[in-house]
Amino acid sequence: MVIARHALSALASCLVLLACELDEITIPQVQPVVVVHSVINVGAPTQFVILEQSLTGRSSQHYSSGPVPPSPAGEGIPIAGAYVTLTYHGTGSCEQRTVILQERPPVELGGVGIVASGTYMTSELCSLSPGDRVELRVEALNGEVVRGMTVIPGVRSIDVHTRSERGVYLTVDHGADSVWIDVDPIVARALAFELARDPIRTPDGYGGTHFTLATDTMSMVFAGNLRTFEDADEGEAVFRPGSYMTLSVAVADTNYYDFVRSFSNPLTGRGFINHLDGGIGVFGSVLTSEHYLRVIDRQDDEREGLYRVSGTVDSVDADILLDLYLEPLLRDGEFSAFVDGAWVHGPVSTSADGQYRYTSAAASSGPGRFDVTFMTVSENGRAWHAISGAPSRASGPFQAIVTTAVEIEPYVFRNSTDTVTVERVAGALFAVR
Amino acid sequence: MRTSALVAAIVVMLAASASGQTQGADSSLLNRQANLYVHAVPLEIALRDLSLRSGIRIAFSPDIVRGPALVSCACPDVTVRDALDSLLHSTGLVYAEMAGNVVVGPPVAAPGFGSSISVAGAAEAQQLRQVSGRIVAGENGPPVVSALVRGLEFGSRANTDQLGQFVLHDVPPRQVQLVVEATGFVTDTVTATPIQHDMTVVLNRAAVELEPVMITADALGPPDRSRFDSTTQISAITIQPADILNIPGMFESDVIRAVQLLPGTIAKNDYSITYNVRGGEGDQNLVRLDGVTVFNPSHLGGLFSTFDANAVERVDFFTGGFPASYPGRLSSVLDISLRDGRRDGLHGGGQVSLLSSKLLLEGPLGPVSYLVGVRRTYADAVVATFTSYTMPYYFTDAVAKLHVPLGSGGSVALTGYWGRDDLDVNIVSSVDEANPAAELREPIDMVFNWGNRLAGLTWRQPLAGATVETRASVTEFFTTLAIMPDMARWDNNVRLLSASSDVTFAPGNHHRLHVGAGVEQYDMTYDLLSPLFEFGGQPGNYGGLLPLFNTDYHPTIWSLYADDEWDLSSWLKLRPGVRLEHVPAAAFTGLAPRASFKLFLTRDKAVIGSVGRYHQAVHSLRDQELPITFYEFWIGADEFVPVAQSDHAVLGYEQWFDHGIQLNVEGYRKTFRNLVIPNSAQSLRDVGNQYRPMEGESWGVDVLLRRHTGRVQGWIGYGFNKTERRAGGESFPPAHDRRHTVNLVLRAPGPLGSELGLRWGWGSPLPYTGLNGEWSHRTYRLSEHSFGSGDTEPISTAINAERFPSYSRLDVGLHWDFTKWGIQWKPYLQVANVYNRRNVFLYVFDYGSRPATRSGVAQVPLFPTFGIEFTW
Repeated sequence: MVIARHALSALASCLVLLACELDEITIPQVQPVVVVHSVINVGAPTQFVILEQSLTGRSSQHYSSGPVPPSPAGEGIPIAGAYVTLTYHGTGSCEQRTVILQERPPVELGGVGIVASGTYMTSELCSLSPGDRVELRVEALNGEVVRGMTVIPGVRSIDVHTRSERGVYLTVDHGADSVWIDVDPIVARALAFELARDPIRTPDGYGGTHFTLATDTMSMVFAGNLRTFEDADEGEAVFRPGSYMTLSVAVADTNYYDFVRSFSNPLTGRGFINHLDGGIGVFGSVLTSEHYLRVIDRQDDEREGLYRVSGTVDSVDADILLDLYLEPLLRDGEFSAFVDGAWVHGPVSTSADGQYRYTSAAASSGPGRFDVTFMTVSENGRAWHAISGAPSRASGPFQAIVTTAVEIEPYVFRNSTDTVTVERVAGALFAVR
Repeated sequence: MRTSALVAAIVVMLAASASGQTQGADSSLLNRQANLYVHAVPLEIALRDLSLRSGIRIAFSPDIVRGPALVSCACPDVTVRDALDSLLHSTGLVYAEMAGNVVVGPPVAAPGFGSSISVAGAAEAQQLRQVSGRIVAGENGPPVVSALVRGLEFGSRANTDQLGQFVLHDVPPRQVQLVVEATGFVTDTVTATPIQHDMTVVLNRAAVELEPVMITADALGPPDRSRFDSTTQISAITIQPADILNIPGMFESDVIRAVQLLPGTIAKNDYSITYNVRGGEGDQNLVRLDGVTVFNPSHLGGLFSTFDANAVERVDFFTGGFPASYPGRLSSVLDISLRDGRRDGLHGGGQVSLLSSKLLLEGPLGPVSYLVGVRRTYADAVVATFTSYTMPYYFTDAVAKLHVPLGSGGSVALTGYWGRDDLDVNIVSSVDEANPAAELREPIDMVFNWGNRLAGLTWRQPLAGATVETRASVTEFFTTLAIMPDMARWDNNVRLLSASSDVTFAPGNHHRLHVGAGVEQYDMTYDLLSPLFEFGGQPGNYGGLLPLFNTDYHPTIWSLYADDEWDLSSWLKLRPGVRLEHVPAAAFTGLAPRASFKLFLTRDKAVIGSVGRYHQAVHSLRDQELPITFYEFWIGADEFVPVAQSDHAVLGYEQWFDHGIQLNVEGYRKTFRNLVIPNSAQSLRDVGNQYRPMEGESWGVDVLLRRHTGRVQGWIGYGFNKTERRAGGESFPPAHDRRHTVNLVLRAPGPLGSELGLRWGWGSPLPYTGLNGEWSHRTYRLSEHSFGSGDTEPISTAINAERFPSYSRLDVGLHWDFTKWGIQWKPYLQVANVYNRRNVFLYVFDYGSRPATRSGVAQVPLFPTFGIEFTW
């Protein structure tokens, strides 16, 4: 799909060179459509439904404020006051049981004001078994009704392994490993994958989705040296050495699979596979299995290896090891590193991102630039630590400045600055790439 | 005025009848009812009409009856005698009944001829024979198409067909002289002995080759006229290189752009080389180069066609009722013939334009003639020079033809074509914009190329009065889209191996039978591979790894066909035919009967009609709603994909006027069954659900008024069409459902000694699928059980429920022609879309703003180009 989009956009750009734009005119408003986003995630404590009106020219107010929930819906006009139910069509004591979803209260957004959440939640859905059917019914205030039905997927096993390891926690060698996923389904239409930096053990505290894929097969192999090919991702390695990653493997029903694999052609408006009656969007279901990856690689650059960082930071003796791996596809010294040891607020085991580069004038022996950032989470909250120094190829340890920013309340930080010693203690010697 | 022996005999006989005008007072022929009504027509026409209406063969020499005077006769209820008395009054001509014929001639005695000659003349009239033959270019040369064969001393005429064959009727049973004329050849006169019924005539090329179309049109009559005279073929138009080269356009002369201007044909926009014929889909058009199928005959998504107009000899376009010998397509046949290379030394030519250059060489190699042409665009460089854009695209193509004469008038022709488009796009840059000097990473590039290549062998051999034509060919469309370095690769190959052999012969005086057999073996493969991924195991089929995607189709089509051009009488021609196709992969055996007729009202007027069934075992899976076609995604019939079927019924009228003016009016109705469209809900793993079935109908009227000769030539084409499709429970007009289409194409003397080419087109609104709002297609995060932001996507209305504004465009071109340094130069200047009409290409809606807005992209703007052609 990505390939096709690139091809078409490239061709289109060629043609547009020969074309000219037509004048922009105002067109009448059209009737809005109820947009539904809801995925029953089997095992999740709560289920939710997001309701928005489609964009019709009635309002230019749409905003992206973060993951929904907890953020309010806002990429269309959030629908308030709807009557939303989920009806269980399985067997047992819950048969034909209907659950009414509760609308989350309005939220005040800076610069926007108070907005409806557009989100309806429940934690009372019956325990779900593979093959069960759950029906969604949405009745908006204006009387519009949207219906959907999902079939709950299930598996006998989800097996994720590398050449040498199998299980929930895996070490993946970027250059030498592949990640194998085998699923033995009971009921499933497709597999969905999501690979993200571990949000806790990543410098930005968010992680972000690094790579997603859906397939209608039940097994899959990812090469360890998989590379993104979206320009926004800068062609980076999907499995980033020196980082902790979360691999989510889900079996999905048809509705979810069609939701993620299809899209509307921007010219014709057709192509999206919609399984809702009376609205557009998704009401699907997935069963997710989480796997945690520690990604390593060969360390054959002189900058790679094990570094010891020691000194007094924020009046505390700190002594950590950075296991540093250059990003294998970038040539600007960007790296990630596992961070282990004793730090400001106690033991730390996380991942750092940084850059270690030589300026061209100092390539032979002069000082380079070493910058690394990592985040720690403790009972005191989150703190960010930035270490900056100017190492030289010719010498060993070097002094670095540590800047610590402790989040004392949301978006409010206490900063401190200290000096530490950074020393490379193991790694390849002078095998410059 | 030449005096033929036959006329002399008639004259003597008429003289012997003294003052009486009839030879027998109780003649039954002359007492028949005339059924004639003519007003102010030439005598020749009146006599032909009388012959047709009364059913009596009336013999006369055209040279005798021709003259400026016009005659009239309101004679529906009178006898033939009375009608002739009326028509011949004051002409000096008399008539007589002889041996079942009525002959008309001057009442003058011919010295030296006696009554025995009168008897011989009558016997001649009884024993008129047929002479057939073949015209070839040089010893063992290729057939000469559209040559004119006419009696030197009698009125019969015939034109050669694609195989260079002719059948001359009503030849006197004695030694006669036949005149053979053809474009670019020295006119020859040959003798046919009294017992000769078959001959091969070798024509020599003229020392100085004049512009073909001028000679053809003015001296010999256009191919369309010879087709009108000699066959029942309906819905057929021939375009010659001069026609194509003088149609102004955006870049360069283009065969398919010319075809798009013919009635019955709809081009959805300026950018698309795809065309729709009489309500059919784009994939229902068979495009052949010297008999070899070309799958995707376009470059740059349709801006250029793959055919160099300078290498083309002629283009025959059939919008319906095409002969049984053509392999399966439902809607049209575009049959492009390459020229043979010249035999009178090395010649060449070329063109340099803003965006491309081409070079063509031709000449003899011993007895063999060759023609080689190459072309390459440099639009990428031009765009980079004059704009801030990058156009990472170019194409190259080459065409070649070898003609090898064999003994006994046979020949072998080898045709080859190779063309490739290259589009290379950097996806991930090796540098950051902030610091372009430092290489940051290994770049990621998209390498996209596609093209056609083909080779075809045609062996023609006269054999025992028949002509055997055997073809073998391989044609391939290929495309590769790769994400480099070595990340993913998409390959699509469509290959067709075909062989056919057919025989054309004339059993008896009034039949021309064409029978043949063929086989086509398709191999269509789609492969998406990546070393970075492997997939495996379908639900319920645990285990086993697969590539990302692959599918293939391998239909084989066996065919038998026959048709008979049957001259039932001088005023009625029939052409019954049948094509039998067997597609084992689809368990399909289909009989496709076809029949056409031509009823001559006069020599220049005819009612024409055709009915037939057509099958098509290959389809293109593409979104017909998209305004542009990158290329076709071909699939073939198998256990899931059906063989498509269409029934045609065409009824029309054709008339030829003086000055080579042709009027053709045809009404048609077509049905479409078992069409396929892409299934957006398809699963890559579920074989056979890549398509959804579709059916439909179309009907309409096409009108062509064309002038083939004179200083001002061209045509006005009008098409009315109504087309409907049904799929998935919906009934809708397809994207090419244009109700009215008008095209005017003119070639005339222009200012400053130039030749003017003009093309004006108007089309009523085409349908499109409107958008009814937008929605955010969010992304679901498995690990967080939440939705993130998404891409805004449109919500559509009913399929093709809206219509664009009407279309209009005027193109003007000027060509000059001079010779310097032994080279003929033809500089040209063209302006496309002279009045800069902003024809809508597509609309862009924005429902995310308040109020909602619609903008769009126009088609070709005012676009001047210039260049120069040269030949030596």
